[in-house]
Amino acid sequence: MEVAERIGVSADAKASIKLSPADIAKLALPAAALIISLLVHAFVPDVQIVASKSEYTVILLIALGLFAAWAIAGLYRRKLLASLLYFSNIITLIIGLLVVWELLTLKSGALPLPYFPSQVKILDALIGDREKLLVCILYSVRLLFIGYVIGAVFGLATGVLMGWYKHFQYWINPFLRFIGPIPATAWIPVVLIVFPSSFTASIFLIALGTWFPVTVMTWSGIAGVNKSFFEVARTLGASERYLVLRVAFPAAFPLIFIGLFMGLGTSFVTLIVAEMIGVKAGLGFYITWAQAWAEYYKVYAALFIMAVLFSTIITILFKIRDRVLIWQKGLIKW
Amino acid sequence: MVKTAEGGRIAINGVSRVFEDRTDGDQAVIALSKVDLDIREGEFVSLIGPSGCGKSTLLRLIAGIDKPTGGQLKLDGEPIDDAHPSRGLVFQDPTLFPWKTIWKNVATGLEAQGVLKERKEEVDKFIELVGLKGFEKAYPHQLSGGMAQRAALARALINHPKVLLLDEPLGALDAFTRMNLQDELLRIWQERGTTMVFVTHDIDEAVYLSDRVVIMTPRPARIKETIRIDLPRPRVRNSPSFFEYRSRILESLQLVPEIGQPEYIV
Repeated sequence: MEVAERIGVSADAKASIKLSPADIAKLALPAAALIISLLVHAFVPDVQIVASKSEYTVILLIALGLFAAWAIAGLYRRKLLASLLYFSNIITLIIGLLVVWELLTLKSGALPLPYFPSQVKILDALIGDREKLLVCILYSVRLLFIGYVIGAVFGLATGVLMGWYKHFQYWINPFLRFIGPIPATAWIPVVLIVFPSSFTASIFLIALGTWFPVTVMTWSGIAGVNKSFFEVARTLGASERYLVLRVAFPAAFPLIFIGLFMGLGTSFVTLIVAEMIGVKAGLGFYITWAQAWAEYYKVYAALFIMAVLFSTIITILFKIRDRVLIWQKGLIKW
Repeated sequence: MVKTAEGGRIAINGVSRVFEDRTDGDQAVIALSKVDLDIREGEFVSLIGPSGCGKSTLLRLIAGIDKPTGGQLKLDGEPIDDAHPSRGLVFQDPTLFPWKTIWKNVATGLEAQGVLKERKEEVDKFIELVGLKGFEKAYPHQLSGGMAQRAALARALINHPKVLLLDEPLGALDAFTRMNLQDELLRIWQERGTTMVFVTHDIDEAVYLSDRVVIMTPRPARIKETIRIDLPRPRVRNSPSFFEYRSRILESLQLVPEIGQPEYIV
């Protein structure tokens, strides 16, 4: 954002948007990379069999179209142009890497199958298995959501109680310190026997893994709140309820958020491991299943989906934080 | 414009505060030792003295956020045993809630007591009273020190306290902002008749503001002397009588060399 602002300022210096030769070169780079990518894809002969050749061409064309639209819009909107100029190098690099990967796999077979499929082959899995993948995504998201929410709610409650009441801290602390550090996934053998189904067992594990960091960070956040806040609030007529919910909790939120973020990371791990071992659905299950058939391109497809899915979830969490912590200075952007 | 609050009468009888958990050598720290002080309705009283003389401790006891280990404090005849909206508090650090806008900070007292809905317009009035109109939506980190302290003042005033307790509220401000806020404080005091208890280490400030200056000493932490400032208001900071009071306080604090004793004793 900072860089974009800087570029924005230099662009403002000009009366109308005029592109310098350097700017034009920068804008042309990703376009050139995309065109090279298209040419390589279309005209270099394949040595492997793939089904989605034309679909990949369409994707590249769409990318080219989007880029052109962005560039044209940039001629009218300074901000769009600035961000395009800022991102052009990294976009070019990513397209370049894709071209190299295609040359190493589909076009030459330099990297052996089935372990290193081309992106076109991965696209085969995304298209051919789309219904199955969609069901897996929904199962994973459901499990993750239920487990994470339960873990976060319990973590917040435990953390607030520990931070606020000395007695609660006294009774809970030893258990938290002793049991908390065990990775949730290590409980799998026990939990699968104790719980009636692998679904409830997984929810318990994800909740447990989330609960620990959320509890610790909420606890230390609440315990570390500036005591003057409470003193001032008390002279203003605040009840204990107000002190906990309207003073301690918001004051501790920067740390609580870190706990929620750490818990989210743990919940991803727990989710996938639980699905790989016990649950008969979800992306983790899909990966083990594809691996058993040595269909590695499907494994990569699932990894790609995970990357998109988990990154989106983290983005949502950060967006929520940005809204809640609007009062804080110097937040990092996700 | 704002409903005038009536000042409260404070009675402090033989109040001591010993901190068992803090030690000075191997003895528990005696922050206050048998202090007696009466403050009239609507009086402006300053507590002055070097650090460690217990002036902030006394203020916290009056606020009710700390409890005495001996003696009793009363407000209008009622014992003080907990914090209460009738006694507002302002610290040197404005301690505004950083997650709330200025408007919401000022509204805290009403919100905490569940009467914000009926008395919303009072928040605007008090923001205007301290001269922060237009900054309602700002967050504390966007405010200068002086503005933050104004907001803290409005937040303390919103409950119409009988007593306003100020713990070096202007101590961290530059000289100009400080004099400016001193006048604001006097204006609010005269308008509202609130009893003011003002802790400071600035002698000029104490003389300029107070009806009475209470001089405190450390070891033993108690009141050494009380000086009534009989100067007409508005006071003139460079008048000869102002300087007389100033030197009397300096002498009482033993901050001026006595004859045949050329060094400062602090």
